[in-house]
Amino acid sequence: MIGPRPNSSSNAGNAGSNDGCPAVSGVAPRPQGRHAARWSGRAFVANSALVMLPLAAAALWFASLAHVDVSRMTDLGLVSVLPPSAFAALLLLTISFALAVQRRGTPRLVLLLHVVILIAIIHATPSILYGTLRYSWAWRHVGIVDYIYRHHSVDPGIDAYHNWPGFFALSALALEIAGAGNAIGVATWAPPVFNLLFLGGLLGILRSFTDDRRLLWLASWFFVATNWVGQDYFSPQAFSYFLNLVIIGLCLRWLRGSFPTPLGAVARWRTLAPAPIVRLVHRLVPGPVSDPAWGVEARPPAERSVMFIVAIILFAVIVVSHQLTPFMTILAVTALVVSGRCNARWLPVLMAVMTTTWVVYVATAFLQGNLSWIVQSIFQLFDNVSSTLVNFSQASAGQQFIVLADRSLTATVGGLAILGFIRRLRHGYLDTAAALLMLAPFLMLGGNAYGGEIMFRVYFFSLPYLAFFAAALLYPSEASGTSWRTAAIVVAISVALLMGLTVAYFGQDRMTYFTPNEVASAEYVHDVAPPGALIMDGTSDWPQQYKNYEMYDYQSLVHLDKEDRTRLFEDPVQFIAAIMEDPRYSKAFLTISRSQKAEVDMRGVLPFGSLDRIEQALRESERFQVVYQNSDATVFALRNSASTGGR
Amino acid sequence: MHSTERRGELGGRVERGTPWPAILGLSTVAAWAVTIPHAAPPFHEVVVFWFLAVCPGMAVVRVLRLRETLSQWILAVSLSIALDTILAMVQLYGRWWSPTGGFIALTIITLAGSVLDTALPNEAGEQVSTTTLTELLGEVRVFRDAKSTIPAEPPSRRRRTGHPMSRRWAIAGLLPALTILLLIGAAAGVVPQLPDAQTLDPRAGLSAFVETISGEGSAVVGIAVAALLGILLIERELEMAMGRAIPGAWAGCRNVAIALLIVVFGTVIGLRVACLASPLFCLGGASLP
Repeated sequence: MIGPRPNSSSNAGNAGSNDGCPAVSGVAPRPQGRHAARWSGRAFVANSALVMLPLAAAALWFASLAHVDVSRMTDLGLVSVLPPSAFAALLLLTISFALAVQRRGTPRLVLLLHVVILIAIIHATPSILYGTLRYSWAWRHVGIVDYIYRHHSVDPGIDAYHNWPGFFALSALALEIAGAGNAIGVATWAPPVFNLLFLGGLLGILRSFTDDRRLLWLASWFFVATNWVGQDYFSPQAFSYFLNLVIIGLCLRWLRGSFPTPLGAVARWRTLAPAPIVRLVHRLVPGPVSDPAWGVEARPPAERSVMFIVAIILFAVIVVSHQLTPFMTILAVTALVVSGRCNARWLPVLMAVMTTTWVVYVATAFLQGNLSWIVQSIFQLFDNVSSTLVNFSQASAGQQFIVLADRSLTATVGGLAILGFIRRLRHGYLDTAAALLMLAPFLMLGGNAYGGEIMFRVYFFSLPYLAFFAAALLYPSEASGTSWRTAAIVVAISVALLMGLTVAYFGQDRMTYFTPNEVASAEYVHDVAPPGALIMDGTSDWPQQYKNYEMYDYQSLVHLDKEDRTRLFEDPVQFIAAIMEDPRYSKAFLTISRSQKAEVDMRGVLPFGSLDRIEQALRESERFQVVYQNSDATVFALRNSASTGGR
Repeated sequence: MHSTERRGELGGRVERGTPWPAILGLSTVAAWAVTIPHAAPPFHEVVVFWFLAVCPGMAVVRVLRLRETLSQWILAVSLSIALDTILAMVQLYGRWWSPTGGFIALTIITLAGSVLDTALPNEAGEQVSTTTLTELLGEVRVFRDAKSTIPAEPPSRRRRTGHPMSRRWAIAGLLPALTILLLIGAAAGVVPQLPDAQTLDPRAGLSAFVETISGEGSAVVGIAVAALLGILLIERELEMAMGRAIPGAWAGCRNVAIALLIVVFGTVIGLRVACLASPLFCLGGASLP
């Protein structure tokens, strides 16, 4: 049976429910004045302990960072240099969270404190420990902001970023108002800030799915514990992702509805499905099933109107900021409208018109240069997926382990979500909206390879709902999961997920982290290179393009085609000198750094040790001179600087 | 900052008593103070980023009188950065880049929202004597008509506020639109007077904007169709949201217009993409740049 469920647990339409932790059958309703009771007697002791434990875990974690020597990182990344006390801190935090979430009556702020500390531990650690901006892509984004900061305009012909400049324009304006010289400092702290924003957007969505406080906070915890894809750095995708979460939250909460749609045919599935399937489903789901969101009251008209306008404004910002997120948002909102969970039936059409208009009429330069592969990749499902699953046979053993860990983590959360969906069904809840939102991003697999990242992005956009169903495995209904055994299982699963997260999220830090010496070498190159210079590198994994980037031409040895690679390895001096002597360039530099060598070793993008051999050959050559060097980077230029007369 | 709390209708925590107008006002003053040249104290960026990330949106959201802290914060932050971004984009594409102008525009939004927040009835039903503005905005036709369709509010809420909730929402509904107009107006009117304005000719900026987004004549048609289609879709959606039934003839005409515009838009987009793919498909033999 699908239909309104009496005494449904969802808060979606139940005005006047209690504090989000409704009474369980067999459990007496809490008396009035419980708020005061929470902070008296035994409750006070318990709550105080649940405040002190996460704070102690945070203190232990950050104290243990004092003994970390990041220069000793191996191919396993940051995990390889973390002391046992750091893992003890994570375990302590996990146990404290499991106790807090299991115990009815734990104040929300205490639960929030646990999740915030987890975010701080995972995402603020690199900012604190490294002191430099992680990820070469983040440095490039700093460079776009720098361009707008200096020119107060964009040049769509330079690259794709200039066709979706919303986030960069915002950053440039904010920096200029604040009087900051560049975005590096802000970018360094972007991951923890973005993750806090994600948490806010996520809570806004989850509250529409359930009233069960335990389910809501465990889902948030799982979200943080499984978000390993690293899309939270200083980037337009992180910015747009937050807005995407807010829009979905608006649709679920303020633009919500329940009207019959073609998907309502699901309600008649028994008459349509073959008998064996019906029997199988009956074994899986013995009792009646209802969608918690079905039959909810619509919000008052004025509220819906205002929130509709707000949703359009937020979506407009997404449209001008990022290429992929508008499509993910359209898919999600369409899923909600088609399933009758969102009353704004024309919103997906309007979103599609806005997106198309921007892509076709404003991002023309990008579209013109990339139309062919975009069209070719449509409906190429297998190719799009396989482009993400890079062959790591050339990678180091440590990197292969990292890949195994992140794929296992993804598979685990997927498996938990499937089991959670089934368990929730068995308890009588058919979460149509959450299920559709979880599946909607997968449609993009047929649309685009997105530079080999589409699987990561699909996972990222599905993650809030995967986390919800994974948490539902432990707390499928308010009456279940009340024993302390459940808390033990929460600890066990969380520990497994967090181990996977620390390996997957920090696993590439040997190459994504840049030492102060590497940053100094990059500053040198960008300071001395005249306009029109060529800036070469072994791989693009170093702090490049962060300043005056439109003035230079960048080339990486890793991007050479097969024939040129052969020539490079046969005679690196002659091959590189030929490129750097090109009279089109006013001057030319080649930087070889520790992080580039780490990428070569870890990912096998060039033969193992090849950058060391190239560096050695250039050092021994009389045609090159070392113009800058420190323990982590060397910068070469041609000795007689014959190319300086090019311009 | 003193704040008392109680439970919201949907289980969320409700904030009551936080003096947001004062906080917004102080934040604005602090943000301006720390950006005085050569007087920037340590962490001045934090003060400015707090202002940019929270204050303009909070000023708008406060007028909505949302009953839950979480919703209030989520919307405040998202609206703030959305308004900041829209302002930055208007300046960027309009060649009116002026951080000072942007700062002034955001300050006006924040302070205007704070004044409205003070003027509107608060949770306890106390009302400051600026009812004229409230009445004026609340009587905008579309919202006034909608008032009759609003489901009955809980008596407790009506007693507490002493004011139909729809009026607040009506005012709040106008704020985003007014805000955008204000941003554009501020950029056009104020920016040329500022010392750090890069381009002092708004007309040049406008033509540059049109040039940027079109490139050639047919694009103007496409964008115009998209704009018209967008307006009709928004109008239709708002009508549905308000639960009002417009006269049948107009509704029919509008639906036909929407259908036609969707077809025209699809055709124009298809031609544009085909032209991008190959000059053979470009109308009039003129290929895109």
